[in-house]
Amino acid sequence: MLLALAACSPPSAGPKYEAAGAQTPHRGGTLRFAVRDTIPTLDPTVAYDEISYFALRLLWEPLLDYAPGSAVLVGRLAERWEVTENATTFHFWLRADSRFSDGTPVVAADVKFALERALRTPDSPFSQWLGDVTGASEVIANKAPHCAGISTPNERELVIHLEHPNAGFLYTLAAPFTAPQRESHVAAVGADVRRTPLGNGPYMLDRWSEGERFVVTRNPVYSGAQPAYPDEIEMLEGVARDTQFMMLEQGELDTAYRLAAPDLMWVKAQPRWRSYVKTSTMMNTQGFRFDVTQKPFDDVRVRRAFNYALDRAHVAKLLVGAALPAHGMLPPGVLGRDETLQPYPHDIAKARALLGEAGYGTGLEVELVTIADEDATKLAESFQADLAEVGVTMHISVVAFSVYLTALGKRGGPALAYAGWLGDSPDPTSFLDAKFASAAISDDASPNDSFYANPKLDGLLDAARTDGDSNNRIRLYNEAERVLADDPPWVWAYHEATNEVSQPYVKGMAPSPVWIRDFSTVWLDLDEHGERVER
Amino acid sequence: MSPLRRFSANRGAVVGAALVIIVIAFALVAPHFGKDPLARDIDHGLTELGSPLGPSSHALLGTDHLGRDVLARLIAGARTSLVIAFISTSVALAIALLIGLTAGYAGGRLDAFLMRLVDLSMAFPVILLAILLAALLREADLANADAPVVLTLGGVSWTTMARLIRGKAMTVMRSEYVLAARALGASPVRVIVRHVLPNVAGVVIVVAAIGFAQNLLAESVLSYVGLGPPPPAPTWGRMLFEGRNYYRSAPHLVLAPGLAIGIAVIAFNLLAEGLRDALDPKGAR
Amino acid sequence: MSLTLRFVVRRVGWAFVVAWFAISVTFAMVVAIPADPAKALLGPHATEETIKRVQEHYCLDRGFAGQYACWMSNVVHGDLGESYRTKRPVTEILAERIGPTVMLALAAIFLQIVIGVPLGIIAAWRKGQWPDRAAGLVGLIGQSAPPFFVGTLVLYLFAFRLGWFPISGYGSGLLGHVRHLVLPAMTLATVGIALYARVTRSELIDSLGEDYVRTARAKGVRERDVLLRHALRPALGPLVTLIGVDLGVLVGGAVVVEYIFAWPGLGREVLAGIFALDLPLILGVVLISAFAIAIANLFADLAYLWLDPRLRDR
Repeated sequence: MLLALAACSPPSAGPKYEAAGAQTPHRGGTLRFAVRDTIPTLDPTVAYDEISYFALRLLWEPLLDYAPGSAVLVGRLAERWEVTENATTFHFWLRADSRFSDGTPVVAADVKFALERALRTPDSPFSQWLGDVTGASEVIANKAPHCAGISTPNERELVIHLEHPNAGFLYTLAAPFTAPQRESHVAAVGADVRRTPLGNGPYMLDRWSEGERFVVTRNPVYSGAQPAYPDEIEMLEGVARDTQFMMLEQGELDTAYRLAAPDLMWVKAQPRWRSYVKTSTMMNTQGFRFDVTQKPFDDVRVRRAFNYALDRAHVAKLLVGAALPAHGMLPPGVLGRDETLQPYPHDIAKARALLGEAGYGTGLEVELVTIADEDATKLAESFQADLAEVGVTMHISVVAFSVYLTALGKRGGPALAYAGWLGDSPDPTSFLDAKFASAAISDDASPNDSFYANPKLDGLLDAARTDGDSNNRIRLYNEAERVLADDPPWVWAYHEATNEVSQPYVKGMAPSPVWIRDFSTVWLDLDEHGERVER
Repeated sequence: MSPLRRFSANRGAVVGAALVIIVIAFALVAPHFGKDPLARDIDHGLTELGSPLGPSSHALLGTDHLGRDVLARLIAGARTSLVIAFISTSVALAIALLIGLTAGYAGGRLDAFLMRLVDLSMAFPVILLAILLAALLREADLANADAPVVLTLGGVSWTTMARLIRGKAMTVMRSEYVLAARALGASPVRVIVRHVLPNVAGVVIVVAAIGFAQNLLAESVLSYVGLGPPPPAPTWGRMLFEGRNYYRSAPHLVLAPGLAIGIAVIAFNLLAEGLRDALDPKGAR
Repeated sequence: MSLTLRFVVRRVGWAFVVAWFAISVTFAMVVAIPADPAKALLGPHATEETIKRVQEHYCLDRGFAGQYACWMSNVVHGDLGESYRTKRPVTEILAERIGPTVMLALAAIFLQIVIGVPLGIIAAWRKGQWPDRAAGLVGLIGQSAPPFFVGTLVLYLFAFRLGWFPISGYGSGLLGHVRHLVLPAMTLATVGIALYARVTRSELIDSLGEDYVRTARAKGVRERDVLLRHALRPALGPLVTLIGVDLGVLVGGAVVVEYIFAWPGLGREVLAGIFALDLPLILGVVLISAFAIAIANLFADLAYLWLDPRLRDR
């Protein structure tokens, strides 16, 4: 009976509200959205997940950030900056009028403190991001109280010196952990630093009932470039994806994101909702990773055959169009992506021929390790059927995410596994050096979990990382992309796009390829009383 | 009236028995059914948008999210689902009977100890046990991929059964006829077999039927952590789990496995109820 | 000391033993999972050095015995450690989450009793007639539907389509909590209602056949009184056992239901903890649920003795 009631289609499927019709952005209103998990902590030094980042980026403003809707760096706390030719010295001039939400001015030492705190904190995931900074390893090892490579000539200037040139380092300074923290505040609140943020961002914490609701209000002393149109931003925690969409339809949320495939299909089929669905690319790559040291994947012909076997058009359709077929590791928008390269075509004959050459013409049995994620399972099941057509029997083994993560980085782990990679920054080092440089190989927890070592690729990556000239870098990374396409350590499948649906009165939403959601230009088109206009 | 006569006089029980026979026949016919439950058809089995197709002459119960035939998967899944539920319930019942009867019969310290053992088993998060078993048994490379599911389900669903059986057994042990039998020097085995067992049979059948119903579906909850028969093998629980969010865009993905499970559960319960009433000596009075 | 008091003291002592045992076994289980909590915490980008540092920080590099000693030394000092994922003291998390969970558990058990027991009584009273069959059918449907399924449907139907209840969350104020409580409690109680109804029916039918009930009937006691006064009382025993079991288990967390309805209780917390292999948090929740189960069972057994006097001399 319940089923029958639930199955019949709803009376009206369209937004309940409409835009009031203002032409220019204006302040006012509360923006409400929800997230699937809970916010673990508001301490920027240890918070390292999508959801905490939403919160931290409202509360803090680091030296740099990305222009809304793009992967281009702009100054925030930094007024201007200079990078020396060989990418070893980074000099920042801070804005004079930036203040913490308690009114005290932000000085260069607050940024230095934040960076050093990341080095000193044993469970901070960010210490490795600063590994190239001169003197960082002494602070990590507890041998020095301060980092020799970070200096503050005066209150307005900050200089960071690297031991090894790294052209991608600038991106690090857009991450929330690099935003200023006042030493006296951190010392005073002690362990409560995880819930008593003192930031310099456009908003400040109003209330946080952990696991339920996180609310920020506009920071009255904020003087930066972000307009901060909504008076308040409210984030509901731990709301499942399909529930978020129902709440949006009921008008309980203003915007929902990352709809699951069933909801996305449904909303795309509703004429009145369709135009409010936005898709945008993310800095990620999905596919299957080989352990290139294990049979049969030590043979490049087998790896190429697997790439030919995958039908990328089918994958895109299965994911309701939220997938762009991939030719390599670098997603669109990342420097050095070679746009002239094409994904491997779905070519059964070629795949069979290559497997035959490699001595597997009579058949091959492999095991794929994957996680219980809906999209990952779809991808795996589709690939399983593709492989069957070329004479490969693939068994799927599903494990918990933690088991999967641990198994992959170990030498002698699974030979074939589902893989997804979300870059920490839009710099190619975050994709290529991190994943395929031989320097990233270790025995127990190898970030290069393909155990891929190619001297030619290493040479290109080293040259590109230490070159301050972006044209040179583009040329080198183009070349690296071709090397990896030809000698694939992965089955390159697709780059995932994210989606969001907002109420008609939500304007100026610019999904960020790096942060996924960015609220810096959002405004609410409400009537003169600040009420939503019913249609 | 003989138990058989009593059983056949019970309309519900007869209907249940008939349904059970149909469901089992359904499971047996699976390998001989024409359509391939694993054949995915992304080009024609899905709409332009990628949405599963509703029921049509092309696919009687529609297609799933990979464009596979739902009816073919339902039939192919019957055997796996029923076998998993049956074995895991038997495992649970065996443990529960052993512990519940011993505790109820012996009483005293042994009873206290066994009941604390039950407390202990109930305190573990089931999902943790599932992750552990899935990971360990994957490495052990068991020939049967369903073994982790059966072991997990059997290992966690015995506790409530054991408590109920022990409670009933305790009551029976205090009844006049058992006291009389013991006073006359009946051996423990004789007391258990002749007096306790028949009297707890009602509770046992009820809890076993409930356990079976829950285990038919519990496997789908374990899919949350990837513990279940590996894809693409169809089982009813997995189909329901995969279809759970399609209740608006493709409701047949929920309805088809949901109804199949519902019918199987009702059938086995009617049968169990009928058996209980037929076997229970007091029910006849 | 009276017999009952000695019984209670012994059982509370047992509760400690059971709790200690439960956390030790859980500890062994988590350590046995071939997954590294440091890796789960830091994600795929972490280098081996960063992972080593975190392992050292949380005693994860010391093997089973070393880790166990590390944790136990905290517990002895009344400190359950800090959650890996949230860096928050586990005691603080437990204190905050237990309230919503107990509220949900009590609401579900309340529904199971007020709906399940009357259904069972009616079914036993009209055994084999249509009310019995109708109750049986309702029970069958109830117990065959898994929580993730019932939860999703109930949410869609009653909160989204009909708008009778809020879609998700915890609400504020007593009235707000109650409004938000209805759907998750209903979902959680579905299986229980069916179970309670069946056990009540089956027990009542048994005791209706007992001699003292027939005696009462022969003495001309009204049928309603026979049913509610004489037959029901001994039938309450197994029911009380069930309530004890449920109370304990539900405090351990109604994982799926709390997740679906965004209810901020222990179950949702422990689910996130298990995925992150957040050992201190997992142990904290197991500790609480072990105690809850032991205490709930103690009360159930006491009630059992009180209901069925024949057992009292054992």
